[in-house]
Amino acid sequence: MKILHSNIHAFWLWATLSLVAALPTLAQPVTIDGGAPEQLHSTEVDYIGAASSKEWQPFTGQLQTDDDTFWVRQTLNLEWGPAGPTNNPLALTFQVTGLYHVYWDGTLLGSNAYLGDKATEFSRVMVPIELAHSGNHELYVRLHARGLKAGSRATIGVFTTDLAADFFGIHFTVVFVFLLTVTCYLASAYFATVSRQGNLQNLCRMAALTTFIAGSLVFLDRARFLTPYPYTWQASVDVIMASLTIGFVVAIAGYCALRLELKRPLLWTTASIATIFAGLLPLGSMDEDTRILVFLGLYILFMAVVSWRAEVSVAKWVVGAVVLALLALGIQPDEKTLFLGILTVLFGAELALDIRRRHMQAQQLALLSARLRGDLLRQNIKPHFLMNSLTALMEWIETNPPEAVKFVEGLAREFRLLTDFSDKQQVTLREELDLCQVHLDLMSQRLGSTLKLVCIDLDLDTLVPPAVFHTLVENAFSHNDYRNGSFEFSFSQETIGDSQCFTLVVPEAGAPAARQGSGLGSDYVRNRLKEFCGNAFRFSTEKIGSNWVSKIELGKS
Amino acid sequence: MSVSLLIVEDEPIVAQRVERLCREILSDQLAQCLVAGSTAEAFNLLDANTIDLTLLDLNLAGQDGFDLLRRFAARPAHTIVVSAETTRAIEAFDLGVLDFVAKPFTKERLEKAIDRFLKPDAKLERSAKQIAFEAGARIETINIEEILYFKGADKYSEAAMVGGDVKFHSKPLNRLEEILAEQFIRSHKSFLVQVAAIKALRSLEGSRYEIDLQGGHSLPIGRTRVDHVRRLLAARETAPA
Repeated sequence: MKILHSNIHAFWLWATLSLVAALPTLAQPVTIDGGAPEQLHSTEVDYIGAASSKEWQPFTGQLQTDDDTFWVRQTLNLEWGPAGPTNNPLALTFQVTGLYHVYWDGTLLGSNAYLGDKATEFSRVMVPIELAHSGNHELYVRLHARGLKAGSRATIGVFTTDLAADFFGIHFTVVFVFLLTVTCYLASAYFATVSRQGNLQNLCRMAALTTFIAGSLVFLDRARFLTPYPYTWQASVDVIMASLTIGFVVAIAGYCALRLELKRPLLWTTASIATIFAGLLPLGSMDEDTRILVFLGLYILFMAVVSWRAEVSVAKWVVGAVVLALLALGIQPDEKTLFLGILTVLFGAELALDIRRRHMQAQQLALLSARLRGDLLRQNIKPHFLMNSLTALMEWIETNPPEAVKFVEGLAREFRLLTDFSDKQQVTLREELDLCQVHLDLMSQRLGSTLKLVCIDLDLDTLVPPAVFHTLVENAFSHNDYRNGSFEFSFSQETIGDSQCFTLVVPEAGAPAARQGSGLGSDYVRNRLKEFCGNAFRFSTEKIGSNWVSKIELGKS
Repeated sequence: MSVSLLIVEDEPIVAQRVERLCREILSDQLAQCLVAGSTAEAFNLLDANTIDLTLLDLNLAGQDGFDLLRRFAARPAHTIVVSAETTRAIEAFDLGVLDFVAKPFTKERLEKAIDRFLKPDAKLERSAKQIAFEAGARIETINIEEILYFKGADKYSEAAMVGGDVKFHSKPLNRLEEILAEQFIRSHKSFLVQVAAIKALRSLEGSRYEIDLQGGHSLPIGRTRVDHVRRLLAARETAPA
């Protein structure tokens, strides 16, 4: 293949353009006609305009107008060799330094969308094979001079594909942009789901929105190459990108704080904004966004180390991945995609594992609920309770029928309540205490005792897990001898901050038995509490004086 | 035959039922009927009275029913379990209870259980597999394969162990014979011998006989028991391995 002129045997051509005007003079579009390649090659001139101008200002990060550009026009004549066009769609490569937009025969081929002196020299714009037919072509390059410092050089290079096609680099970027976008949407869906379940709902909603916007912007930023791009939007995009950077840093830090199970995740998230300010400090030769990413990486590393010390399993993976990402950034400061790509893969994988873990948890919870329903119903037919009740009933039927009728009535009521409870995951305190009282009445009749439940300061509409206090009351009969006497059980409720504290006091009677608050009944209570409020509860039983005191605190982990 | 009963039950109405039905079943044969609502109360009554039969609930205020049962089984009185926990009935029989009455129970079922006490020849549901011995404050449970023979000693029995040890049991030989009928044979009014431990039947001068046991022990055998032992040995030899 020959490029431009048949007398050019080299594989590449350099088109070096001198930017000779200071910024104010570059405010209007400039058209430069391209000459013969030999001339272009020989007219390579360093960018000197700013050095001689007092009005030179370094790039501030925002475009003032959308006219701070100039145009380069180059007429190219393509001639294909005997082999004809290659199948590689990346037929030609233009290498330029600076912020650019490249048009080929009036078609926008691409833009690097970078600002500043570091606007990447590794950017490539590919000419599709169907546009690279033999004959004359017009190449327009729109350049931003403001991104260039005094002494810089704007270069347009034209390469043959087999020499310059940065196939791996291009696709590497595409892959990571795809990953980043998909992960953003997945993360958004994840946060939206989590915000419906547990704590930190507002933070999760905010994170869902941020990640959704971030994913959309990343996608749109890339999608603009598919359609004619209105150049006047550039200023708005710059503002959006700056806001997005802050949102991106905060979202990643917040996500890490949550996933690393740090205490006070809101504080950690807010504190991450400091990494942006740290990134703005003029340290070394790094550009701003690289510095921000470095500080963000260090911040995540710090969080991961704190989490590692607290023995959170994911922390060591985060440490490894962040160190790897920082190393990548250290080797290629201009190639942030690799840094973001590593973090993306890490978070994507971690997210997938977390979704799997949550799915398993949900399954276990469903299993637990089913088992608890079974346990509750089994309590009805627990041999000790049921068979002794039936034995007592037989005796009353034979000796005192009115007592038998009374007992059957109570027994039926308890069974009905327990059956109703078995389908529920929460009941009102009123229903729960009603069940307790029915059980005490039955046991009073069986044991020939007077058993009372004294209630103190109760909000009877408070929701509680079903049959938990009933189990504790029932448990008292397994460990105490309440025959032929008068005994008082007391139940009280107290609000402490956001949590509800319930206290059941059971009198000790008879010979000291095994410790209460252990065994199957206690397992049932703990499982029910876990089903009701996760780990946000406390349950304890201890002997105080001549009583057994059981305390349940809901909303306290 | 007069019977002294002890009912161990922590539910008054259930205890009332057991007592009422026992009085109806035993009628004039009932010499004494005591009721204990707790373990401590029960052992006090056992120590202070001569009890023939204990009707025991296995679930007393959170205590391990089988620990309780081992303690009762080591005492002289026979035990009938009256319990709601039917899942471990076989374990109870292995410890030498006469019967296991599941709650709720009828008069007929309780009568059948008491008959096992009143009629010693009635076959048990299952012979004991273990014997509980009192060893100071604790209870030691021994598999019956480890016991060569019991020797009657007044109201007690001496157990000769395979290893040569001797242990004392509170139950008289008659009561042990009732719960060990499957594996032991009354070879003499003073001896209850494990059938599997008998090696040979030997005749002595004066129409006397002895049995040789494993471990080199020899015990006298009553004349009326010789034929029975001989048949047992013959049956053992012809039985398939």
